[in-house]
Amino acid sequence: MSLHSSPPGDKDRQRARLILQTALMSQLSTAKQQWLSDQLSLVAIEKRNRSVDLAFGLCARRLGKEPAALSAMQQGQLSQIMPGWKLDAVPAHAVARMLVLTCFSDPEQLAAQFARLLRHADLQEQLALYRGLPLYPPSDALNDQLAEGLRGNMSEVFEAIAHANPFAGWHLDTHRFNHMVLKALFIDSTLAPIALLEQRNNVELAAMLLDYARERMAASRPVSAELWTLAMPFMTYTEKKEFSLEQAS
Amino acid sequence: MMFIDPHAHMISRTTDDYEAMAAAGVVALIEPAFWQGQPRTHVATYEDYLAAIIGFERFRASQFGISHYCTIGLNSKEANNESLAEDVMKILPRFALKEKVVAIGEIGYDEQTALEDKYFRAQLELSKEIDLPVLVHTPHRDKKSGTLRSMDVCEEHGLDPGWVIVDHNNEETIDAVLDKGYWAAFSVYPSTKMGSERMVALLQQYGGERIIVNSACDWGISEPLAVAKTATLALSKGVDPEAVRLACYANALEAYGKSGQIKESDWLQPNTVDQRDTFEGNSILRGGRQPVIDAPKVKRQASNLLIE
Repeated sequence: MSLHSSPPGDKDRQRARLILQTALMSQLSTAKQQWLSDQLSLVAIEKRNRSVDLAFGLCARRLGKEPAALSAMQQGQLSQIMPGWKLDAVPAHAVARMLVLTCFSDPEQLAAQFARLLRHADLQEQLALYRGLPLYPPSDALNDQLAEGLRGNMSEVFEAIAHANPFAGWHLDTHRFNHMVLKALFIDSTLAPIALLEQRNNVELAAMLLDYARERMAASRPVSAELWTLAMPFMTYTEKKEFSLEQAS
Repeated sequence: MMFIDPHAHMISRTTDDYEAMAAAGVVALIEPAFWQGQPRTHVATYEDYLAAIIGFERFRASQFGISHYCTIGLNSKEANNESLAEDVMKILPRFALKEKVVAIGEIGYDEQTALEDKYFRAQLELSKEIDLPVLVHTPHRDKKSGTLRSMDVCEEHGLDPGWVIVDHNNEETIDAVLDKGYWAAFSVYPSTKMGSERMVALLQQYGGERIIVNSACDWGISEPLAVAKTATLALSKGVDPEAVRLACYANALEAYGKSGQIKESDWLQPNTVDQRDTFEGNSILRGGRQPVIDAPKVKRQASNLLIE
């Protein structure tokens, strides 16, 4: 795996958090800034479920629905620390919700809060939880939550994890990562925005994709052209011939 | 014509229904928390149900270009299971504060028992505390006195009638509900509640002011197109189009709009980033598959043999 596919450490996560907090605060009115920093201090000091629920729950109502306005420089800094993470299509309230969760630096506590919030999360809250994954300390428990999100049927939740978000690429084992890629095709989503896809590409994935292509063709259904880019490096001459990717000699 | 169906239990319906509703002009609907036909016996199943109507059901509706809202509450039937009801009351505030929750409801009476009364009142207090309108379910049996009693209790708790939608009305209850200043909702639901011709007659007699038409479609034999069908029938019988617009669209928007959680721009300008959960930004479109809401389908006919 290349250097870029390795997960960031504590310091990188703190730097990323600071970039996001700075960007968010600079787009909020003074009253909204005050509200948010009060909530963040309260959660950080108290670490109580009730203050987390209130802060997390009220972000959308209190902060409005504007998109998060990261400057090109801020997005650039973020991409340096966490290549593949893009937050350009995320509402400001989602970034605020991520900041609320970063008040928990202990991996176990973070995963517990994440799971607890997810149980009562509406669609926008689920998207915020998953989009913010790169900011959180990793753990097996958090990986299980991520797997849960990938397992569901809501394509937006799936894409909050799979697209423009390197967390899955950093932490999923090969089996789970491969299933995420295959599922993207199953739900008519796209592969190109999957972070670290090239670095994580592997021979098992190629085999799964080819089986999938055969199944689609047998059913007279179209096959996504994106599939071949991934499978090609691992395809045998016979397979290339089978799929007419190689002229018969 | 655009319609809102402000009472539809879509969790019990199929995608065919969503497709037909969108094709008939339904742009938004409200899914009240309700009794699912079989009592829940654990708070955990209630919790998962509430999570489903603020989560997955909202997503399902968005696939058909329909804006989905809901109301949160403990229904009257399950209020009779005291230990369940106590636990549900504890989790309600957490769900009631979610985005797109437009009221506390549907709450009220079923058999008018003491426990139903207790939790009806507790939820009226909750609605005041968090500034949400109330959707009142009036009982099927002993309807008239149950409806009057529901309004008396609302007044006892100091609710503004303009913030209360009294549902499942009929010819016998409409005068009292309108006279007291409440919104009078009618469920056009075959066999048990209101019929479309009777509804049209009421619109002819009363006009559209503070009247709301809904389908209340659920797990029973019911009609998700009830709002659109009633509107079409009303127009064909010469009812003032403005009265039809009020009863089948604008009144629901105004009444539930008091929550601050439902706005016309949600479906007229679904282009802000927050509307990624609507039709325009839906990933299914991005993925290339076109949602089919162009024409009403005939796939419910057994003679249509193609399944692709």
